[in-house]
Amino acid sequence: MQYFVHRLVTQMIPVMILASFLVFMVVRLIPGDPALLASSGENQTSQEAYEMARERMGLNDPFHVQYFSWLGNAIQGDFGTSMNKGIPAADIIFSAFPATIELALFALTYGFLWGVILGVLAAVNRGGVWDYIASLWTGINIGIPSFIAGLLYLLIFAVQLKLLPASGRVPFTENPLDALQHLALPTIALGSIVAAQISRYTRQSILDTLTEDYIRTARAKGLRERTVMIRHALKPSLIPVVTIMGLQVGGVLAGTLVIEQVFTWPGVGRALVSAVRERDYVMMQGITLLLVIIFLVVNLITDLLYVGLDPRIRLGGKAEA
Amino acid sequence: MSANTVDPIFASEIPPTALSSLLREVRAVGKTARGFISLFGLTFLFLFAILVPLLWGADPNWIENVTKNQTPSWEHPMGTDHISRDLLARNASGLGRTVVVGIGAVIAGWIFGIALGYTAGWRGGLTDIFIMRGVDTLLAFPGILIAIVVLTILGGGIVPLGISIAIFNVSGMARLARAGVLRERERDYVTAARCLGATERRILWRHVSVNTFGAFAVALPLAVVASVLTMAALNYLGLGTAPPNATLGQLLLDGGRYMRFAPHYVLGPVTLLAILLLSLNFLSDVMSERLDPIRRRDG
Repeated sequence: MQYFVHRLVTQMIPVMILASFLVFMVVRLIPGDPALLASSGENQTSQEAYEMARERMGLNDPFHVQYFSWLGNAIQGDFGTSMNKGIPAADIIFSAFPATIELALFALTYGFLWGVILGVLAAVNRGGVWDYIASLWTGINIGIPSFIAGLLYLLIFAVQLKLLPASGRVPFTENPLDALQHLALPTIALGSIVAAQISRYTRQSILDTLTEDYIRTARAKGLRERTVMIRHALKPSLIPVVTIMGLQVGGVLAGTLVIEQVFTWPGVGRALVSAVRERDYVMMQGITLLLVIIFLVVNLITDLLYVGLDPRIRLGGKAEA
Repeated sequence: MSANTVDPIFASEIPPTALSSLLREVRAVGKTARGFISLFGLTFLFLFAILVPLLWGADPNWIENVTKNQTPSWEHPMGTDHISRDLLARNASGLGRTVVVGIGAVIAGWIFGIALGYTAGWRGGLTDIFIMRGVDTLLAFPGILIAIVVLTILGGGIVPLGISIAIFNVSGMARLARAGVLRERERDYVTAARCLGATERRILWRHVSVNTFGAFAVALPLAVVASVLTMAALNYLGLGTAPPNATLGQLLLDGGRYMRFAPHYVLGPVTLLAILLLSLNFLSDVMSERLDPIRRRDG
């Protein structure tokens, strides 16, 4: 708890304030006047309409007033009105959110399960065929980024073999089987890098555990090898692996930004990219701020997990010395 | 040179030149399976990017009056794209541009990163805290998000693209450089140099810096991987491109659109990027394993 408060005060809050300021600044730094953009209709912009737009957008207020009113509204979930679509940006963002979370959760789950299975197989067959296959598979999947793998899967499984749908999302509530089919390719593309990392750590961790005395005792008792593995070796080996999972969350969320584009997945990443392309700065601000907050929270949780699992790390580096 | 005057027994004690030690390193890397694959892949790509424009001679931006989205043939070994440009030439020039911008961004980012890291590590105190807090803030966000924001501010084109990628290279390098300086500055040779009356600046740039370069070399392949990957991803999202000039990410984007009618289109850039990133990843693995005997593979 003490660590949590310490982290919150010394890192989380300053970084969040700095980041929100930077996000706010982005719109001011972009060449062009947002009021001119908003007030120019089909006809020539009139000076009057321009002045009205400036007043309405609060651009005549002092700089700090603009920042704090924007931040205050954002904290209450009001990111302003989308410049192109004319509806509240928050509505668009929060309707896109479940799709991204769904994809990320599936990718993480697949990555964890497949990674652990592969890691266990590799550790049990150390130096054998499975170890070789696993090492080859992890090498390739760490090397090839998710969106390129995604394009390749799309080409093979959707376009050539026509086994799975190429794009779009079906909500689970409508048709669970169809939803899974749509999820399969993006999940595998996004989760395989996680699986590759997890399998490396699992393999190493199990090999380390197998040298422990209690494993020798278990074997000396005459337990079957499978029992030794599953009952005695696997559980303690997975503790470091779980912390590694925390580090993967950020990577997967960053990966969704691009993977959503590959599979036309209607999530936050697609919303961000279309906002950037359409120069909808209000949307951009909202999504970026939200993503920044999510990343900071994920980082904090990962750190706390580390502390929870490893009591040697305490209070901002004091224990390191 | 006076090589014949050197006694053969002491031949091994000739201080290695930069070139000879580089060659020795390459040979050692090539002896491992991953290292061999990686060097083979990188050589192939290098030759592809250099030789195709020289020997093939087709203008990558020339719109020829032939069938669009042609499948590979003798006239167009990789086919043609959606407006009848030769894909072999476009892939080669796209590969070249992607690698040059990627490496350029790493170098530019590293110059700033090294300067920041050395300053933070050497000065210590408040300077250190301020610089590193800023760096930590940058590191808290995924590179691609920072790059998207920077590109929005700077607009499209190759130079803004390079700058946006360079920025996230700064933070990683600053950490590495600072760690190197912190490790080296307590060494005896620093004290020795100080006793001889060397200025602080001379100690930092002539003595300490050269001893931190080893770690930078190991970090280079992964930094290029991250830069090329981010660049391809940004171009794939339609950001930072400068048509008609090709980049691999741009080819991915266009090829992806015509995947149903012309699957060969997207296969080219996918293969090139896969070879490039895989080779660099393997190279980084082998290099860091060579430096760190504990991490050497046990299988």
